[in-house]
Amino acid sequence: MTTTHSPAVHVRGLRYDYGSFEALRGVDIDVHSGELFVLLGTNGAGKTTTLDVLEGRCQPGGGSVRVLGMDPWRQRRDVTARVGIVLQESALPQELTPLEFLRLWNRLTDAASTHIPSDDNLACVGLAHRRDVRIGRLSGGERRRLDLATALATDPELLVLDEPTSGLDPETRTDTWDLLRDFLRRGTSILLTTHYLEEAATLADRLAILHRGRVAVSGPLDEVLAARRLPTLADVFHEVSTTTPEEVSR
Amino acid sequence: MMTTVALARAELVMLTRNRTALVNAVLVPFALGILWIVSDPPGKFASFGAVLQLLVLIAFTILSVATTTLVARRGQHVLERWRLSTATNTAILAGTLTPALVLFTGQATLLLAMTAYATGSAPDRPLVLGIAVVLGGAFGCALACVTAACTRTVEATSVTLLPATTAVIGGGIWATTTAPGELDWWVPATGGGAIAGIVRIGWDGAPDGAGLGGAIGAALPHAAWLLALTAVATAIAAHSFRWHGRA
Repeated sequence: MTTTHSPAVHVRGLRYDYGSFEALRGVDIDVHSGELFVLLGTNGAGKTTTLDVLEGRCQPGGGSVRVLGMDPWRQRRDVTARVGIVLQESALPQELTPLEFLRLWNRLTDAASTHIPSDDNLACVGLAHRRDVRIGRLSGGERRRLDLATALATDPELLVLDEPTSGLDPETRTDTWDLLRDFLRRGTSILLTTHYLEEAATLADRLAILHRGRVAVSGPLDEVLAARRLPTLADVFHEVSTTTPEEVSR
Repeated sequence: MMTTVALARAELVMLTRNRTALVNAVLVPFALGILWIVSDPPGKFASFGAVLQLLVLIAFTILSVATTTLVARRGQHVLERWRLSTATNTAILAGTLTPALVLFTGQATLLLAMTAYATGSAPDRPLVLGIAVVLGGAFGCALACVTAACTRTVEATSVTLLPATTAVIGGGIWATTTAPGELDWWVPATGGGAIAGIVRIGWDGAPDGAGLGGAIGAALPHAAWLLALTAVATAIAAHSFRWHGRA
């Protein structure tokens, strides 16, 4: 387990490029153990690329990255055994049922120390009544909830969630928030991205706004508002995301 | 090993629930095989029939199904999801490709047995025939990984599969319709030519009527070609295979 002295996620000077396009230009992030950290930003700001690197799916072009004290690129399987991940795109085999899929997932993650029983997991995300329906016939919101169940299946130390509530109706989104708070109470650290600013304001212990591959703002919400002398997170987000490239490079 | 078995089992379930894949994997090659058998072929064409059966199975049951499966799973981001588990890349690929390989082996055994029965001509060296099935299956899987690496969408497989399918079936027919002594050295390099060479020796025996040792010796150059082609295809796939669609 991580301790209060070793952050769940520690990123310094992270760089990544897609050919000539610099997606990340020196990102610094710390996610403390047991906190919920929200990463915000406009489309293309670098949120998903940051998570791809943290999940060991992309090799960083520069900087240092530690997830639960490990290098995710070199120790990908050790990291994924202890981290629950929701990808930006729903990643589910259409021809299996939710129950079949979660049982298979538990077998594929046999290196993880614990597993939540598949039936309990489906009940946890409100899909118990759909357990035997093929995934291809589930609604978009139901698939998203199944993605979340996949991330929770190993009772992970860290959750890395890329827009986990996109496509969910307001009631289900609130249920998901409650679920995440339950995991926080059990000591799980959570890093999530979202486009819903009220979600960030409601859930985040600390947050960061990425803009053009850099962290433009970071800290607890009240400190961010005080530093910017703005009343709401939406105002801060608007101010940051309308910054010109020249201002960013300064 | 357990993760490969679990994945293979799930893939087999998914295959049985996908009608299009099932038609490609089972119905088409089996119907073509049965069609050839019921056309009442004379016994002297038995080895030609065996070559055709095996090549069609490699093209449809392995190449087509395995390529489509890999491209579809990548498109659904399922390959990415499996890579977030603790399974190794090799275990993921093996589990994904195993159902096609199992179907191929089962169908090959059944169709070759039916061919022998229908033509009244049993294979002279079944062991050599078995070698053709094993090496042909491995070659088909490696080639499917290369084809999948070059294919963006499931729809595009109908185009990207053409060169591989043509090389396998065309090369095989070319090799079978040419007298062994007149075969150009590079025909086995099509893959299909090498498979056809081994199947003919397995069914008709070694050209000089030698025993099992002689038959294996005669099949060795073809087997070496297939192994080399499989190794090259594996190396290309290892270098160029993409696990996720995002560039």
